[in-house]
Amino acid sequence: MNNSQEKVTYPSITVEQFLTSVSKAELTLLAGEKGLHRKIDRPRVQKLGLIIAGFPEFIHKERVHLVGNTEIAYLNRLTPKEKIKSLKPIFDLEISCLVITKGLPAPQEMIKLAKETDTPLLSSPLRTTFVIQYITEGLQDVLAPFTHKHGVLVDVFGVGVLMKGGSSIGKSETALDLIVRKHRLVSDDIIEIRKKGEILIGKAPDITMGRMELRGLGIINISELFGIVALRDEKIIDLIVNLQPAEQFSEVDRLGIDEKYEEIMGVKIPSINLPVASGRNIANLLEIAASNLLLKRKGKYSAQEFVIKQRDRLKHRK
Amino acid sequence: MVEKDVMITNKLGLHARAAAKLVNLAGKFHSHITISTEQICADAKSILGVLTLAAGKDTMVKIEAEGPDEKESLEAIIDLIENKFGED
Repeated sequence: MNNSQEKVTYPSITVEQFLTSVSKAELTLLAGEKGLHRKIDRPRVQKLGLIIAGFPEFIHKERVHLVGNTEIAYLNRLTPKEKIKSLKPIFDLEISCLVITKGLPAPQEMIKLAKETDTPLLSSPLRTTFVIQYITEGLQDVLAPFTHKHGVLVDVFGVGVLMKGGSSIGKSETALDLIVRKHRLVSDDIIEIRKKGEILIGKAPDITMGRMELRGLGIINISELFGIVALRDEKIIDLIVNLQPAEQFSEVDRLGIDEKYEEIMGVKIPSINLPVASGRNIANLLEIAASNLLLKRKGKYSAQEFVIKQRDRLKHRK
Repeated sequence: MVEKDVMITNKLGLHARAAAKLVNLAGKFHSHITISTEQICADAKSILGVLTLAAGKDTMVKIEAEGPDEKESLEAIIDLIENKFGED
């Protein structure tokens, strides 16, 4: 329902924010302070490598650029004039920033160019491998695209179940049933979903975290009522369950042999449509749906096995 | 689907009681109604969703409605917001 309304935000950060948000890389600023407002919007890094040897075809200016042992050793063999010639095209591109790893001393020419072009020149005491790892991980985190969805996200047996469905269908009440059974709430009503690689991670917006609305009772505080174990900060979304009034179902899936999916920010998540009617305990059904997903992950497809068994039976009847 | 942009003009913005009025009004209609700021799109029938918008005074919000009574619901909600939720 209403997939057209998916509003995706692609965050970007300034080099100044980058310096503090990727603290594991232990970055410090050497020169080019005036360029700290430059933006980084891709989580990938590029090692300058052959680019400084006069092969700039594959430079991606929006990435974070790294200079390690090899590049510095190469530059140190050049005359000052050659160094400028090799580095100037890179600085002229208005790249976001340049990071020197292993605490290597920056060549004078590099510092000069950084100042002239207002390109932030950063340094890390760590080895290139770690700098690449920490920067990539850190940027993937802060630059992850995100969206908001209406629904309830609950951790059921370690399976992240996103309940969707029109208002007052009973999503929050079902979540409450699940909490009573020692499952954990991630977010009620509105879920902030960010995409990291090919997984979706859901969490509550800061303002509603740990809160739930129940018709007639108003807004309640789950951690105070049920303790901290009833909550979970964030959870990977594994399964989407669409709750719908039973009378709106024209054709309910009676076999469960067809795998259905729904897309959020281009990531496909297994989904099921669950009719809601009196006498159907939705919390029970969600526990089964979550367990069934765990079985499927172990390669056990109950519905398909049954269908095969029944087909064999039919053959032998002949 | 119908939609309209409207400015929040009451002094306190979309605070708890105002949000409750909006959610209750939206709940009277059969259409699917959303209210969104630049970043967040919330179901207008969900109190926590609407509160998450944290839309202060002079924030522009977009109301969208889709369903059998979309026109009436949109008008009613725009009215409520333009009338400052019956406050000040």
